[in-house]
Amino acid sequence: MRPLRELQSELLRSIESGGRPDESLRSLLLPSQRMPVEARLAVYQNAYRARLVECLQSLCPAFAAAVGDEAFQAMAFEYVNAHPPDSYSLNDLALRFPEYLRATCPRENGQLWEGGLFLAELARFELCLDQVFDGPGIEDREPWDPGTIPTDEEWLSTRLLAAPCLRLEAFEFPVEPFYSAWKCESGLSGETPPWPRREPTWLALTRLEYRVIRIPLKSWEYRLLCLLVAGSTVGDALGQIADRSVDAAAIRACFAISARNRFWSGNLG
Amino acid sequence: MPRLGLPNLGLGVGLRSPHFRHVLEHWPDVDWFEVISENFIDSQGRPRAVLRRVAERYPVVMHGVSLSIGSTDPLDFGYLTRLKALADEIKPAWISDHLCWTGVLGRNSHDLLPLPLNEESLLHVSGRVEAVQEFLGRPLVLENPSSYVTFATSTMSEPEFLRRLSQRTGCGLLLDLNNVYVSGRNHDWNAWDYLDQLPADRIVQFHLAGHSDLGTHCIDTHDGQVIDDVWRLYRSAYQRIEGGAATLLEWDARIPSFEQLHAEVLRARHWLDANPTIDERQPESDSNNHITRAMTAMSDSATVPREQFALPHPPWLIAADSE
Repeated sequence: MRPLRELQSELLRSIESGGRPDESLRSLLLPSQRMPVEARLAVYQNAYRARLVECLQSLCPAFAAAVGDEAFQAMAFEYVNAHPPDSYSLNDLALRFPEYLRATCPRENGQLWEGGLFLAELARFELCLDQVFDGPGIEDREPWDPGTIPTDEEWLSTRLLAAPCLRLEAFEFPVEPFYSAWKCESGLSGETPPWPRREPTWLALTRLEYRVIRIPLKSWEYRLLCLLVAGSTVGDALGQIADRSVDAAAIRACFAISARNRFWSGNLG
Repeated sequence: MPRLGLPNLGLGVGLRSPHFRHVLEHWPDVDWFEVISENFIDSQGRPRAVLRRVAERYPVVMHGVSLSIGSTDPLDFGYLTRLKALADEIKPAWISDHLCWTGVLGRNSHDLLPLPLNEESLLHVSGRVEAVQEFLGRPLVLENPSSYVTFATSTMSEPEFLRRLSQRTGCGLLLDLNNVYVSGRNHDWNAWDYLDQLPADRIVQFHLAGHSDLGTHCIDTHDGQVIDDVWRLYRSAYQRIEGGAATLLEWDARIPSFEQLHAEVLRARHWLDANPTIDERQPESDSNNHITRAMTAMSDSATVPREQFALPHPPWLIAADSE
């Protein structure tokens, strides 16, 4: 009799690969009155593919809409073949999807295909959304009051503590505007917006009352916030982003947005 | 002692994310909720916050899909640690999973795969159930899965396997009547004989669900109403237990409104109150209900492959929600 481990390994390989089972596996399975062994096994093989594709579609809905159903099915299954699930949680299924898309991006005239790079960035954006949605948050904490730092001098020497749900991301494409347009248009006309051209964008993602908030940033805002999150004092961060186009009013506005959206959970004095 | 001494919680439904808002706004008059453990054990966001609030008001049961009690891979104590932490937080009436394996060699199929039912498997699963029960500090409740293949090396029936497993380990049983029906159709055995072989006093809970009848076989799709033959099995099984047992309706695809979901499980009252008017032992022939469902399935699946339409165990996932 085949040991249980051997049987399980053989069965799982067959389910993953989806092909006709070899004689060795067929001899372990029994037909029913109305179905041969191959058809019975195909229920699991088909379900494996369909379930994981459906799951990936739930995790990356804008990506799926951007490429269309048929292409998405093919891409998703190739990804699953390359990275079979190894986690007990289906939520982890998309963890390596952006990296996989970038690694397998086709070349066009010797360059990586721009459309492929956009799709990899869109998948990364949706992965960020998912991680902020269900990651650690600040809902159970009292809001931090910036007013506890009364003077400008004290502000400049302050180190701010980032909220655990704050993510600062730089993208090579305007993925957030694409996503927003898709959310809006898919509900109205069912159409998917055109793919954008390459253009760097910066974004803050956070969570308030369990809803993910997306805030587009300017380049200098992104750099400033990254420095603050990394532990620079406010004074040092402002010194490092020295940019003549940024005036005091813009900096105040940036801090106001960060405070309103609870980017900071405290300060280190 | 019936149900391992655990309470009959009444008629409950599975808590699914499309109903979160309705539940929090209306606090419906449902007896209890079952949650998919994997949807919450890693959550630090809205799903877990919703569950905390629900668990303050309703009895809750944790139902898992990833324990993989039959796998020959080592038990995943990281998973079990998170499971226990969630249980410590929401205080479920019990914790259940399936008699199945979900993966091996470090990989996960995310399906509930069947085991050959023989002495080797029984010994293997028994040891793991005992280890899990010791870790969780409570009896595990295991569900009969729906299945689509059988093994040449099986030497006992599924109810015999479950009976002996329960005797050896003290675990409870979650009897899914829809799975009994589906597997019975798929494997050419009689669902009523299945009930006769089960130890009724070990049954802690019932599951009810809809399935797709594809003619040559049935698929456990959790996407529609419970058919009459499954209700008949349920009535019979319920009446075999002193005081009955907690009953839960699963609906995981094409999820209806909460009111419709709740109304479906409340049909159990009708079935339990009504006197049988037909021979309870003749449910195996296809009724008109089956024909209608099969035709509906064929019609609905005209533009997609049928197997894709009829997906067993729809994926349990709570996707992100953003402003």
